[in-house]
Amino acid sequence: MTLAGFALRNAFLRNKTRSFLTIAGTVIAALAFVFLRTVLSAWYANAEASASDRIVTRNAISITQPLPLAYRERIAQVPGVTKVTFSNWFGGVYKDRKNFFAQFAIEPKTGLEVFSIRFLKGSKDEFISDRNSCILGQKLADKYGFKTGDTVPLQGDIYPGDWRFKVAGLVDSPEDESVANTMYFHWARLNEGLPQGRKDLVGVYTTTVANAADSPRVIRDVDAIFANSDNETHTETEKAFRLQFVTGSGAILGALQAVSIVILAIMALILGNTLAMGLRERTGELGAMRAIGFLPRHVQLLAVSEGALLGLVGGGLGVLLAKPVLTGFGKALAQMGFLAGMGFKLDTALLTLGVATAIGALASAWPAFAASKMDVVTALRRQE
Amino acid sequence: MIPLSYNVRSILRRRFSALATAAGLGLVVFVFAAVLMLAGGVEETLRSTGSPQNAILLRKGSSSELTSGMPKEAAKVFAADPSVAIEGGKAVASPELFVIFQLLRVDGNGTANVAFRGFTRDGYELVRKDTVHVVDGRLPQPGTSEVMLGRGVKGRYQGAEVGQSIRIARRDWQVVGLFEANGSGFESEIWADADQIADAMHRTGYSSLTVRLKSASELASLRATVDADPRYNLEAKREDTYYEEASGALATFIRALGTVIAVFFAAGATLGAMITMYAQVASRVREVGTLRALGFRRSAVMGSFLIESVTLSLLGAVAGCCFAALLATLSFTTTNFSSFTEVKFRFHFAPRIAVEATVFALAMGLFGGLLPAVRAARLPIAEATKG
Repeated sequence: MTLAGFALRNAFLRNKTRSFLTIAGTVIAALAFVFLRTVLSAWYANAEASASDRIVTRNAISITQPLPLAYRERIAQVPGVTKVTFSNWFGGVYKDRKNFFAQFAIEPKTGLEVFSIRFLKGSKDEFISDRNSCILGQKLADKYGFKTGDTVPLQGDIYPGDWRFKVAGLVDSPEDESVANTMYFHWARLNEGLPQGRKDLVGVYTTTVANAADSPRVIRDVDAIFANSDNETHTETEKAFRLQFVTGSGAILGALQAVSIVILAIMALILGNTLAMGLRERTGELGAMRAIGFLPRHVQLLAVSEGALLGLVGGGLGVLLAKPVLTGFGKALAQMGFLAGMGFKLDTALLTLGVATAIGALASAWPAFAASKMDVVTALRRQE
Repeated sequence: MIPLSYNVRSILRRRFSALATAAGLGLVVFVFAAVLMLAGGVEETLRSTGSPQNAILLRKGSSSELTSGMPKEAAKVFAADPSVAIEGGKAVASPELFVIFQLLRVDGNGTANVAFRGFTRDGYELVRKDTVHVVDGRLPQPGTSEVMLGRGVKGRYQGAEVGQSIRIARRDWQVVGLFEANGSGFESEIWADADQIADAMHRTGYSSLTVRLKSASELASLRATVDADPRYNLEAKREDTYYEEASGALATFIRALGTVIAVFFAAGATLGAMITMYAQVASRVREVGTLRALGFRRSAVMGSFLIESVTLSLLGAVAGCCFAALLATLSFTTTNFSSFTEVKFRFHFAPRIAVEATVFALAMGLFGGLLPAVRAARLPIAEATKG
């Protein structure tokens, strides 16, 4: 029997109840870890998905303050700018406040291009030609059961009134996950429904830049045009723009980070405890191993690989279980209107697997060291 | 019954395992209590922002002051309603303008949405004076670009110190005062003259009108008047209910996430306790045999092991609650989803939370110890004494 085979037998077969409990504990810790990491990455997903060649211009006062429609032409004239489009956050309520999803009024011709929106059902032309129509992200449509031809009623909040839009298409985007959870409709339709004082105002301008490396200069140039005007602008990369919605929740995200570390600590306690107890019970056996010529490093290797094995198996099972759990929880969260983009991700799974194995090995380091330092004669004599 | 000193000595004998188990349980209790304190803090902060005797008038259908709006004359009309209290010949009403300014964070993390509340001198004297106290400097002069800061805002953003100024909307807003408001959401706001903010933001009118009612029961009559008025599309709500609703999304989110985490943790720690207790039973087979041979009953053996695991969980609970109570000195700032602005919250510790966390820990200890205790009780005497 090889040393590895010995470690395998020790880890799983010697004390089956304990192995089972230890692995179950590790599985749960791994599940929790995957869960937290997924929530965290879902939070940042929107910002990560932003295109590097897009910049966003908003009113310098704050995101809730609009900009004049006339800025469009002036931004377009800045050298290096290829396309300019604009959008308004609508913030309407579908039936109940709990049914939260993003709605934007966009200028269809440029908007579909700049946001790289792809039609899965219906067509671009149908949407563009009917100003009472809207397009829905595929996931959003699935969630509420909308089909093309249906009417989506929205109760305005920022823009009071009852609004109705006919679904002209279902969409997503190859580059940006958030599109699949968003509703878009005609900016012109919004504009004509507003009272005089609120007409011709734009939420933000989104601009594509010919060369992403050129963005810092374009950003300065755009803001320079409107400096000292009634509506000064603040321009930034789309990523920076989206990140500010995440940093606002920084305290919660920090807490989640901390908790995910605590979970690892708990995993280490469970594994380390099991290893320490296992080795202590086998004191006599370890003494015998040393007596027939195994060196301290062999004993260490044996203990550490036992820990790593337990961690790997527990972590692996945890990751396997994570997929159904996450899907279920993601649905529940999305129902409440949070983090619609939550899903199982391969890199999170690999991270968990690696971390669980490493923790198994690390947690056994101290018991392994103690076991290897034991005096052979005392170990053989000791009985328990 | 087997004497308790037996359990104490057993625990002391296996210090490492006992400590690891208690620490695991303690961590769970800590996280569980912290989550409850967090959600409690959010609710407490926003609830204390409103008062049950006040009513707030908003545009019908608007979810927050941010999206609400009303013409100035509407504020005048409803302040004169007979349900509104009168003090010194004036209606106790405060028309306010709520806007967001984007300010630079001092910590280098870009910008943050900060609430600016425009108020009138009369509104402050009549409605807000009881909750909002200037603790440093003075009130802003009406008709000037002077502002006062809530305690939670101070030092977080560029220029947010008394004596400095905040540059926004092509004006320098001079910071002349600092106020506190009993830990309520107002402390995360910056207050200035309503007309000056309206001017800077190119706005007319107010966001909301807050009135003190002659008595809380007058709300129904005010509501009826407001609903029936065809000129303005407004609605009246109890002020504390309004602010409680404003905290709902965030508190629910924290609670949902926290509960899931706590359940995961609890399962993990229960297993940890089980592992330790099984090992205790296994390594004490001979002791158990001796106890039984001495005449202790199965139930006594089982009880003894259960007591041991419950003791470990109690140790964990005490440690966890102590560390959680320390959190009460901390505060955290996060975006409140419904007002879209940064609000500073405190961890809110209540005895109820300590009790809940302890019960939670006891349950974990009981579940974790049950199966091992049963095994110990069922050991056959003859074989057990042989070891």
